[in-house]
Amino acid sequence: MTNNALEIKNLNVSVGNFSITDLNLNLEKGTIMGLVGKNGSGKTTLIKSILDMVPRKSGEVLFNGIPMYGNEKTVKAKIGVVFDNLIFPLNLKPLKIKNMMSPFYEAFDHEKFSRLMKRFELDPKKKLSAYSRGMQTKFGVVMALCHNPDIIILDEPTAGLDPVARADLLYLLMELMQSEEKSILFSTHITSDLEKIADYITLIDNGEIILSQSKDELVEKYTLFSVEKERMTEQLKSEIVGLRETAFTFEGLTCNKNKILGIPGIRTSRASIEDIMVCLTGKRGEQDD
Amino acid sequence: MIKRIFAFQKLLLNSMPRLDKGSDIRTFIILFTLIYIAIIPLFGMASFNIILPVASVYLVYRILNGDRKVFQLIPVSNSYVAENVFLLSIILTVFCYLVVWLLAWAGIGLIIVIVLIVSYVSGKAFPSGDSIIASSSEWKNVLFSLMVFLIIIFVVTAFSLAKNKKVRLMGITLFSVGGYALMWLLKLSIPVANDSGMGTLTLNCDIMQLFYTTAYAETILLWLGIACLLIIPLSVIFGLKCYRQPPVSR
Repeated sequence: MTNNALEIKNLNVSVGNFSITDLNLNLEKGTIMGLVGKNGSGKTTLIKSILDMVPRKSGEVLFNGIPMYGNEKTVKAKIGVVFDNLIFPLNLKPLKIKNMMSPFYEAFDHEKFSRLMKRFELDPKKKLSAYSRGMQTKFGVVMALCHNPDIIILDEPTAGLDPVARADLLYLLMELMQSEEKSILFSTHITSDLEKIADYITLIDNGEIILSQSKDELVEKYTLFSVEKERMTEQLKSEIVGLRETAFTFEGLTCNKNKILGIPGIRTSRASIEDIMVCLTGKRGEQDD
Repeated sequence: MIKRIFAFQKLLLNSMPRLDKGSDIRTFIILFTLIYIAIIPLFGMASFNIILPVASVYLVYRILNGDRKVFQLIPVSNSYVAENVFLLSIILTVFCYLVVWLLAWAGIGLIIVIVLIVSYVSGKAFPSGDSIIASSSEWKNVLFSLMVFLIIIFVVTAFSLAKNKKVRLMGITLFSVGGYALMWLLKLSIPVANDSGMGTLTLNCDIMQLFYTTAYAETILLWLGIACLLIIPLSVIFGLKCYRQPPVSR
């Protein structure tokens, strides 16, 4: 029995000019993994290929050790998905959508549906077209959770939400993690959300994984620092990841905090996930150019 | 089971991307006007019988290749999806026919009522009801249309299920062009009975008119029936095989 809720092995996908190359990723059971990357980095393509919605060139995706192909009925019943754009028809009411989908899920919890609709203040008798973007996203979350999935895949779920709704969604996810053994793959631009709930961070850029690490290790590993221009040396430059030049200083990340500490004129601070994402993907962009 | 099939059909229908962009609607209108113009010389008044299954399979194609595939989230096997897609294409066509027939009969009824009233007022004899509906009661023509539309539904739905875009588009294009050419060939080679005997070919008649008069109608129907018996199961097998393909494209 595997300890991974999701295993991606040597995944190669090609969609138009974009490709995901030799991607390997594991999502441990009972953990939340934040998937971050710039626009067009491959987050949605990765999620779609995990769900067999785009064909793969090669590679394998396993859910609790089982491939989706040939086991769609078992595997899909255990997955809840929220896409960045609502996938449900806007001309329908939530109740009708629930009635259409529930016969296919043995574990569909009608009581949970009503509870979550109430919690998110969603009127089940109103058409989805009358919902705001944020309300539509919330409804997507409700539908993804009602059949009690083991693995929840969220593609930018907080993008259209106001801070209160975002906080509520994050709180709901944390609640789920505490009460039940769920695994969550959470793709987002809003890295501050991940600071709150993620156990692991995976950074993807141009279809490749730049890093995939425990959040605590990551934040521990990288330090944000700035140094006055006149104090910059070649040796110091070699220690910097994602060097940025401002009017008076150079800024960047370093993995060797100990090496730079003590150098006069250097200020260090804790690197956020956003800092790490910006510096690491920015550096790659410069190399690519 | 019926409840699940019904729910899945609704899910498929609701996965259809809406024609809400102006360019989408324009493309739809232009495409179907062109198809209609292209088949009028072949099927004449019966072109509507052909355009309805074409419209249905176009909708099925949009469902399968749209961006709101709700049905893909549902925990059912790929075979179940493919079987339901075939069922949907038949239901859509039957539904379209029902709507058109109801409208047509409503129209015919209205015309009959008007003719009756006019005849009553002017004191002329009522026209025979048989003459009004004679053209629609020819069973051979109906059977011919039915078999053509079954072939269209099954073949295009089967190709729509292909996950590989090249296979999908190439298959549908080849079938459309090939089928169209075959129909022209049939039209040009049906010998028509006239006063002096058999063998007159005419470009002025459509297939249905030629079919109505030719002595070979039953032979053509027999061959078309055999083609149907081969094509329909083969299309279903092909469609299921395509949709059940592993996610890894080789």
